[in-house]
Amino acid sequence: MRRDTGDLDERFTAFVREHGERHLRMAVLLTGDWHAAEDLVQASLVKLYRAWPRLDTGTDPDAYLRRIIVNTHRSWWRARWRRETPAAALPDRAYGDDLADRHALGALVRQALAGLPRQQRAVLVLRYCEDLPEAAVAQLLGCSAGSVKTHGHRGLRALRRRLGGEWPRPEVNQAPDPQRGRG
Amino acid sequence: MKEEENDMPDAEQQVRALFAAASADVSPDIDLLRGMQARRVAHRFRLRVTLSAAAAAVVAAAVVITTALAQAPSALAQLTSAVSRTAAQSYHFTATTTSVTLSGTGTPVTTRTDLSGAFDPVRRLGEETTSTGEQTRFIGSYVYLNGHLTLPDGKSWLRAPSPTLWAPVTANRQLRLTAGLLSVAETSPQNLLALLESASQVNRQGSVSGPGWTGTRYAFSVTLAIGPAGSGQPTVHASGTIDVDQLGRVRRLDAAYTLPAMGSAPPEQATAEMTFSDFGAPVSVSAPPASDVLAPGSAPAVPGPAPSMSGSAPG
Repeated sequence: MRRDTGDLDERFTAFVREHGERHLRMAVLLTGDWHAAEDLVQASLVKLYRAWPRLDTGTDPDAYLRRIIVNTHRSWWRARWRRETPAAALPDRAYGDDLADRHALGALVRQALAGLPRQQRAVLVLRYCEDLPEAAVAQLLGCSAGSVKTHGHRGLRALRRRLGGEWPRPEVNQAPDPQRGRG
Repeated sequence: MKEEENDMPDAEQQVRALFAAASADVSPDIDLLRGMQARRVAHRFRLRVTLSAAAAAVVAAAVVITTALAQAPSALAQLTSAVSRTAAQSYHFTATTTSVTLSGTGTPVTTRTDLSGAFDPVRRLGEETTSTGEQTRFIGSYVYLNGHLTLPDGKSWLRAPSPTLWAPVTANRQLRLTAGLLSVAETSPQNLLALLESASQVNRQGSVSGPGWTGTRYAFSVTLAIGPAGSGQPTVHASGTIDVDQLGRVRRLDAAYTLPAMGSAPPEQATAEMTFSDFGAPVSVSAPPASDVLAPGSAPAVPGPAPSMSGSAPG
């Protein structure tokens, strides 16, 4: 039967407004582009909405949504539903501090991430975008902590190789981090 | 290698900064809540059409699979005739569909949808209303939706084209219709008839009766591939019954089945039950006032349906 009472919708809407963008940022790193990220988060939100009335007080909806996003992305990947088309080689690019250059850098990083094996990419995103400890990542991905460590290590090296001379960039360190201190 | 490992703490800080840069340029066009609403609507329709499509498809598949049964030719003939009769006149219907998701991400989610409405396949008119008040009207090749979506101020109906709604379909095509503005009308008797054209047998189970009618129950049990033969696509396992009254019209249909995971949709255990009544009774469906209708892609004015498609349909 219909569960979307006004109160439920209000609380759910407030949750999405407060936390949605942060999950969108994680999703774009998983998928490689904003359109796919939007699709992924929206599909996950629909699943969260359906489960919302049954979430007990001990369930953190933020963590629950993260789990849905990760699992949904995995199922899409298995279904070969992938819009990202990693380039064989990344273009040379010089960066400054203006907005356009930051966007170009962002696109380059997303492209490099998209070229990694799915599990390495997921580990990197959960470890360094979501700041989850290795044990939590292992639980989310259904693997051992040792496997997370291995994937993380290999992923970092691979990302570094793919970014070549763009890594590390001193100016990147000065980039504002929109995720810290949110939701 | 050693050098890389020694650099790892720095690398972790660098990758955090890189990820922040790579996720900072969120497009202002992205509206998660609005897009989610659209997906909820699509899911409900997808669920209904998948449930009803599977129910319809199993009828055809059952007769194919049970070809060897001795009693089957007469059962098939009666069922084909019943569907043909039902498809040739207007009818009212009720439908209840339930599904339980089998996702591994948490508590199974049970969804139930109750529907009622009426269709006049000859005049291509139809209406269905959920128990929660969402209404869908079918007029010609258009579908009008009310209560499904949040629309701009002053608009309470969304109009969308539905060019395939009345067309006969095949089992495989039915099962691939997993999204879009579709309806329980996809399981209409005329579509059952189209499915039965390629069928050969069903099993007669015994006598049955309902309010004001008596008849015969036919049973089926089937495994049906969703995709083209040999494509390696998953299968639907289903079983159910169809009741045909003494005048040879389909009165009731039920099915229970398991749907495999499809795309982002998790596997589901589902049931569907439909009843048909009031055969030949007038079906009256009219288009909403044009001023209340949002019709994407037809700016600036919002046209109503083609005149020949609107208005009430006499029985």
